[in-house]
Amino acid sequence: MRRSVLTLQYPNVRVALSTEGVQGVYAEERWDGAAPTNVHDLIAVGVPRTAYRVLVVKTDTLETALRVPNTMNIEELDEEEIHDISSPILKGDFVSFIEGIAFEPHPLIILNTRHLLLCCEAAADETPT
Amino acid sequence: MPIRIASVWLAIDAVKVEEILGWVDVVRLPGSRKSVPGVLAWQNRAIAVVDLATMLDGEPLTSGRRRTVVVTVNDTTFAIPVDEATAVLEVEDDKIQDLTTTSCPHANSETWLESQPAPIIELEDLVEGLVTE
Repeated sequence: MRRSVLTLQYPNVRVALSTEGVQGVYAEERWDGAAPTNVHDLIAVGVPRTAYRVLVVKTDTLETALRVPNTMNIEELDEEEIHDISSPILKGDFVSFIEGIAFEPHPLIILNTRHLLLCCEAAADETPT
Repeated sequence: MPIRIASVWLAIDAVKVEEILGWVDVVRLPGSRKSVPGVLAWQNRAIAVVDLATMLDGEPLTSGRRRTVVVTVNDTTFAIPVDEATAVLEVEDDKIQDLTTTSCPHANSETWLESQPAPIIELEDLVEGLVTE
């Protein structure tokens, strides 16, 4: 089964989100909704040295705006190409977001959208108003 | 099984070795510990990579080493990049002594390999340490 993903290039890693929940992509300067959450802060990776876009993503119960680098692409992967990464010895903030990893032709780490959005919600709740 | 990282010889229980591969590029995971810097592909899975060099105060792994030893310990499969892995040796009990001439985390005994003392890494203890660390 094929799966469509939106790839995002960060300085030290290339990650992807499923396109399934993506509601829209906006140039940051044209976005007039709620302040988007920096994905690089959430997953603790390097700060992009590019302009940003705003990605609106929705799961069954959550919808949020994410600030992502504008170096993005849509790729199709076979489910078989995505390897499970669970191991009790792998630890770290970033690891908790990983749904799987594709190794070929270049490493691509698939993030768990639901976990990402839940963390966005938690971060928003902690932000003083 | 004797393995070498830089100039240090170590021994691991050969029964736990699944496969010895050549150089395999490690995919580094941001924010990972130095001792477990990333993953690599093995048999349609992504398995953790354990860098023993960091426990020996050696140069940390960059992208891989000449050989990659895949081991399974208590259902946890992981890879250990090494510079050399040689044929399995049978070591008599009287050739294994308490760790006295060397020191190494996760080892409490040693033997002699290539005329050098070599700590015997207790893989169960290594995994337990990495899980609880």
